[in-house]
Amino acid sequence: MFELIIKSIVIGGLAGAGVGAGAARMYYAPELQAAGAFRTLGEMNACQGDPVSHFSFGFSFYINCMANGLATGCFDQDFLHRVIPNISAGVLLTKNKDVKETIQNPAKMAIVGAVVGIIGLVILNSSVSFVPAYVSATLTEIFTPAINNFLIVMQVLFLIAALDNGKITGCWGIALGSIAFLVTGNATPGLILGIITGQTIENNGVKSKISIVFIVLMIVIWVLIAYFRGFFPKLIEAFTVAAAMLG
Amino acid sequence: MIEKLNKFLMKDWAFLLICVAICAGVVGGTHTYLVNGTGYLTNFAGGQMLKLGIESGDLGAAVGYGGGFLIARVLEGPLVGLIDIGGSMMHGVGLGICALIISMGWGFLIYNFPLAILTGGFVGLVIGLIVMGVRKLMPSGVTAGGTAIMMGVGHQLSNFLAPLFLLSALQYSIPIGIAGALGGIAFYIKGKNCVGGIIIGMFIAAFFF
Repeated sequence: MFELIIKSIVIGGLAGAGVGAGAARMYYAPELQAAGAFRTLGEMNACQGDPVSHFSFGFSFYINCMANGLATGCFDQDFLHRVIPNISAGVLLTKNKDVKETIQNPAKMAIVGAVVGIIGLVILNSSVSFVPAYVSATLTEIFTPAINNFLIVMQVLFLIAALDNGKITGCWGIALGSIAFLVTGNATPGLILGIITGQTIENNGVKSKISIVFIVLMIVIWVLIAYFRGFFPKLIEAFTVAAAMLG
Repeated sequence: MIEKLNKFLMKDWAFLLICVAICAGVVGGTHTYLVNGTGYLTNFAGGQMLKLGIESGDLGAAVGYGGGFLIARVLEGPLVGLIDIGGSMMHGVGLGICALIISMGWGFLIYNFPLAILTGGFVGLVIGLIVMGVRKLMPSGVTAGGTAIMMGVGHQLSNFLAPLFLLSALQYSIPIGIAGALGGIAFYIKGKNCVGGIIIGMFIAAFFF
């Protein structure tokens, strides 16, 4: 328990400071590279510098995080996306209403973000350790088939998306997806790379520099993965068996 | 003091430091999830994918799913000046990169806490450098495509979670199935995402059945 609290302090401090500073820099994007999310920026703007709105928004998601955490041990993305930026903003705004000197100041947001992250994460993590082990074991047992089905749905949806996007992306999707399935047992990595490669070719033309870079990169990546996973001996073996049966 | 720090954090390259801090925290969260069973900073589907992958020894799906988001967001981030920390760091690093590291047999980098923080920091530095590099080098007019498609699939996928979870709850046992369904209905009526209600319903029922 003590160990977990120390870990939570380190994690909460680091992530909180980063998210706080990244969120403050969102107000200066795109001149300054920021880190956060467009919806976070929209939500923070919607609070219009009112500390109570920021607090209640952040806190409602904190409750969500706690419920998710108790049930599954995962807090969802809301802790970093919404809770830390909004509660930090609320804290800073109670002292000073000027947004320029508070939520748009990366240093102040980083410091307050770190404190919010530490306190928030310590409470979340220590509350989860009160959940008896048999409850989490049952939940894992329930969720395992759902996640296995989810993995199938994922491959199907990515393939459909590739096919829907036109011939170039579709062909790259089928080709790389099939290679990925044969080599790794899952088509998703290949489908994703196929979509990115296909769309890049479609945007810039097959003879453009970036397209050639992508095509070469894909060949190199998949030859390497196949080699390190011992796929080539398997491939040769599969065809020798077939040839032997024919002959 | 704060003025100085602010001047520093307002420099473009301070972005690297932000990436280092967030990624270190996220990998630390993955560490506590695998070791202490709590603290995962991204969603449950990802966490379960990682755990199942470690059990079966095949982390291809986790690497692909997380890594796909990472690639998409890292390509998009520098173009719009705002990198999405959900897709790139929480999902991409917390799931994809961690799964990749474990699948290469370097699991000690995640299971040892100080090493996990250092690993995360290093990964963050690399991501930051790539983003800044793309920002400086990407000639105008050239677009790496596909990120919008990926995000579309990501949203579609999250729609599948509620029905899939409910079906497995119903399959598991009658009381847990009923509790999951009731939780889903309650959240649906209140206009919130069904998944949360289904999980909480099952969670409460798991104490008793």
